[in-house]
Amino acid sequence: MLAALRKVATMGILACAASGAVYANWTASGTFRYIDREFDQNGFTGVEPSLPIRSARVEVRDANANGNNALLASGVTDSSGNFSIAVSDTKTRTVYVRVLTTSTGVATLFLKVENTLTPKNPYAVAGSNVANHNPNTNVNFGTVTALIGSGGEPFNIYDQGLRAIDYFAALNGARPGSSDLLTLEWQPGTGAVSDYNYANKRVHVGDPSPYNDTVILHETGHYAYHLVSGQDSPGGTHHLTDCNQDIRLAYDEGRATWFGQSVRRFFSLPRPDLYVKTTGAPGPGNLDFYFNVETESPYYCDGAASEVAVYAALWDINDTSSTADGTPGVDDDTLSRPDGDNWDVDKNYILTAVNRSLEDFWDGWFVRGKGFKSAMEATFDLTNVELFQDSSEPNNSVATATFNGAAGNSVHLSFFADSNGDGVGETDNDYFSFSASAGTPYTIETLNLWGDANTSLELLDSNGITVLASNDDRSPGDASSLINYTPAASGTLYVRSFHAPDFGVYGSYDFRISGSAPVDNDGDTYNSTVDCNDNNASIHPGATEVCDGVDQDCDGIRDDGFPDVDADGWASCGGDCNDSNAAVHPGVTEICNGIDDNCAGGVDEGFDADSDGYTTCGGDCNDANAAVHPGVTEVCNGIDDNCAGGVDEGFDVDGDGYTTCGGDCNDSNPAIRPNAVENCSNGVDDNCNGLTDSQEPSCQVDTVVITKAEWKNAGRKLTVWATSTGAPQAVLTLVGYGTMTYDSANNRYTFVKNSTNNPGTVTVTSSQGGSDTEPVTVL
Amino acid sequence: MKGKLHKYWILAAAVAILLPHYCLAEGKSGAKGPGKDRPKKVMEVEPSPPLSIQARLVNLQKNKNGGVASVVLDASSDIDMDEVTLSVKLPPNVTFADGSNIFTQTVKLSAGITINLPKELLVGKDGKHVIQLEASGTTSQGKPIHRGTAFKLLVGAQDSLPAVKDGAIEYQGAPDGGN
Repeated sequence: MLAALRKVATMGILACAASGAVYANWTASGTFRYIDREFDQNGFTGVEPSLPIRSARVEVRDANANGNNALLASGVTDSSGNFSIAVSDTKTRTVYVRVLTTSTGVATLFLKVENTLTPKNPYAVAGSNVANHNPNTNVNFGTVTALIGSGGEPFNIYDQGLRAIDYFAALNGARPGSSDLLTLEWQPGTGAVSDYNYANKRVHVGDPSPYNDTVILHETGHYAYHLVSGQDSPGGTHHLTDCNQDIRLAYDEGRATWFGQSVRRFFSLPRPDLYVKTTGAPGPGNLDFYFNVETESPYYCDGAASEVAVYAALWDINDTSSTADGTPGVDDDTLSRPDGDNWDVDKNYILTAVNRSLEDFWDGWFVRGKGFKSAMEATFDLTNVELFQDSSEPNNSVATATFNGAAGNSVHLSFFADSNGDGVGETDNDYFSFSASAGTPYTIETLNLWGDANTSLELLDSNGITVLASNDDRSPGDASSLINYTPAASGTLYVRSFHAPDFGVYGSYDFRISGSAPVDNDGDTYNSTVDCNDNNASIHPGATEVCDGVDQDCDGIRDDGFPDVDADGWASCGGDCNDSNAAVHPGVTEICNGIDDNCAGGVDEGFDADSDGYTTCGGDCNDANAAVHPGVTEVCNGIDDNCAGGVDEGFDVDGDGYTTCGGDCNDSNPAIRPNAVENCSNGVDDNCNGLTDSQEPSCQVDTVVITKAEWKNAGRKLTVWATSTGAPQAVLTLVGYGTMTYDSANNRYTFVKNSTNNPGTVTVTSSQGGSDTEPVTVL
Repeated sequence: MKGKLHKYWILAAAVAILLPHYCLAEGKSGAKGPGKDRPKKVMEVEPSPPLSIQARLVNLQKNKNGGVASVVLDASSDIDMDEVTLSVKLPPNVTFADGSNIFTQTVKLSAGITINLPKELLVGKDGKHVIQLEASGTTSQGKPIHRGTAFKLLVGAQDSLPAVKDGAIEYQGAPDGGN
C-alpha cells in the first residue's frame, strides 16, 4: 500500500514537472503618487506637493510581453496610494507595475480619465522594471511618482474627479452608479476651453487646465446636477461681467461653481472661496483670471440673472465664519446651513421645475421646509436678489393701488408677493394711481432692472379698466418700459406694472411717474407746447406776420403773405438778397463762386485763407501765401508769384532756358549758361562756374608717365602701365595698339597683349593732351 | 418592417422620457411664462471674462537650429473696452526682430471685433518655447479684467503624448525606494 502511494506521489511530481505549471505566489506592493500644483489668486504658488494616487487600477505586468499575456494581476490603490497585489506566476521574468486613470476594480467607483482624440485610452504611470524576477519573491516597487509633464496632469484630473464623486456621495447618499460613469478627457493641443457635454456625461478639460482644479470641479458640478436635477440652460459661452444673463444659464453656471467650490470646502482644501484659472505654464504665477465666490470680487453683479450673484448667494447659505476664506473668523451672513439642504432643493424641487433658476431654488427652499426666511432674505439681498415684498405692497389691484405724486421720484419695487408669509413667492402686479392734469405730458417708466425683472406697463383710465397706453420693452434689447402720455382731461389714472412673459417671474426694478404743467415764459398766454418762441411775446399763434424773415404766427411759414419770387422760402423784404435765384437766401451755405450766397453781405467768405484779397475760386494759386495772387509782380524766385501759370516769366532774356536767378551768368548770350561746353581759348566763363579757360579743369593738359613697358619672350606678351594727372577723366591710348584700361584700385591705366612682337618703344597719349614714350624692357 | 418598428420604439421611448418631465412641473414654476425656446442637450462651457488674447503661428522659417517664427496675436472682447493693455513676454532663446523680449501695446477693443498684431520672432534654438501673453483692462462699470495665456511655440520639437502600451498612454514614473 505504501509503495502504491509513493508511486502515485512520484507520478504526480513528474507530471507537474513535465508540464512546467508549478504555480508560486508572490506579492507586488508599493505606492503611487503624483505631483500636485497649489494655487492662489495670483496663479500657481510654486508649492508642488506629492499626493497619493487614490482608488485607481494597478496592473502587474510582464515587461516583455504584450496584450493580455502581459497582465499578471491587477488591484487598486488605497486612500494613501498604496497597493498590495497577490500574483500567481510560474516563470522567471521581467516585471513592472503601472497605475491607470481608471477605477476598474474599485468597488462603487465609476471614473475614468482618458485622452481626447480617437483612439481614446486611459493614462498610466509605470514603475521601473525588475529583471529576472523569481516568482517566489515578493517585490516592493517602492514609491512611483507621476511628475509634472510626465503623467502628473491626468492623475490630478483623476483626483479631482474622485473628490467630486465623493462629495456627490456625501450629498446624495451614494456614488453615481455604473451607468453614470464620469469620464474626463484631456490632451494637449485639443482646445483651451473646458466644458461638460450633457450628451455623453463627459468633461473636456482644456489644454491649460489639468492643474486648474476649480475649473475641473466646476464642470463636474454640471455632471452632478445632470444626474439628479437636470438642466434647461441654453449653455454656450458666458461671461462673468454679464449681469443680465439668461436666468436659466445664470443658475446652471452659478450652482456648478457652488458645487466645485463646495468640494474644496468639504475636503478642507486651501481657499475654497477662490476660483482660479492659470495659463498652465510652468512655474509660479501664470494667472489667467480668478474670482472670489464669497466677496464676488472682481465681477460684482446684482440679481438672479447673473451667475456671479447666484454662486455668491448659494455659497453664503453654507459658509461659516470658520470657512477658510479671505477673512477667517468672519462671515458676511448669518446662515450656516448644511450643503445637503441646497442639494435637496435641487434634487427634489428644481428637478421638476420649468425654466430652472435661482427663483425656483428660492421657492423650493421653502417648499422643502428649509426655513430661515429672514436670514435667507438678508443673505440673498447681499447680491440684490430681492425675493421679498417691497414697501408698496399690497398694491395688487386698482382698489389697492399706491398713490404716486408724479413728481419724478423713483420707487424701488420687486415682482414678489408672499400673501401667506410662507416664503414661497407669488406672481406680483404693482398698481399705482396718480392725479393727471389735462394737457400735461406724463412719462411713466421702469428703470434699473435686476434679476430678469422684464417689466411691462399699462396706463389705465379712471375706470381702472380701459387701457389708454401700454409698453413692454422700451426698445429692442432693453426690457425696461416707457409710456409717454398727455391726457385730454384731468382725473385719476392708474398704472399697472407686471412681469412680461419670460423665463423668470420675480426680479426688482425702479418705477417713476414724471409730469409737469407747460410753462409760458414770455407771458403772451401761449405755453411752450404751442408757442414757437416762448421767449418773445410778439411771437405766438395768431400774431400778425411782418416781413422780417421770422415766423410770428407760429404757422411754420416765415413772412407768409409777402412776395417770394424764387420760392426759396424767403421774401426779399425778409432778407433774400437775390429773389430771382432760389440758391441764394439767408441761411444757405456760402460757396466759392464770386457771389453772396447767404445774403450775409460778403462774397465767398471763408475762401481767402491768406487774406490777400483773392479767393481760390478767384484765381489765388496759393491761398496760404499772401505774396502770391493774381496781379502781383513776378520776381525771379522759382515760383509762380502772379498765378499766371508760368515761373519767373521775363527773367530768361536770351531764351537759353536759364534765368538769372537760375544761374545764367550772361542773360544776353544764349551760348553762355550753366552746363555749356567751356571754350578754352576765348577768355570767357562759358559754363557759368566762375572759372575761365586756364582755370577750367577741362582745359588743363595732363602729365602722362609710363610706369611699366615690358615684353616677355615667353608668350610674346606686351605689358604697359601708365599714370595720368587727369585720371580718371582722361582717356589714354597706347599708340599702335588701342585704348588702355583704367584700374581705379591702383589709379593707373594698363594694356596687356599676348602673341605680339616687341615694338622696342611704346608711346601713350592722353585725351587731355599729355603723352609719354619709353623703351620696352625684354624679359 | 423591422426598421419601422425600430423607429416606433424610439418614438415611444422619447415620449415616455419627456412626458413625466412636463407633467411633474409643480407650483409657481409651472405657471411661468412661455419661455423663448427649450434648449437642446448642450455644452456647458467654463466661465470666463469677456476678454481674450491668443497667439497663433502662421509661418515658421526653420533654420538648422531654431528659426524665424511669424506669429499673430489675436485680441478680442465681447464688450467695448477703451483701453486694453496687451503684453507679450518671450522666454530665453526667443526675441522680437529688434532684439527685445517684452512687447506692450495699449489698444481699443470694440465688441465682437478681433484685432490682429503680427510679430516676427527670432528663435535661437530648437525646442518648446512658452510665450506668456496677457491682456488687462477695465469695463465701463469699473470691473478690472485680466486674462493670461501661454502659447507653446514648437520649433524643431513636438508636443506629443507617450506611446500607447497595451491600452494605456504610459508615462515612466519617478521611482523611489523598493527592494
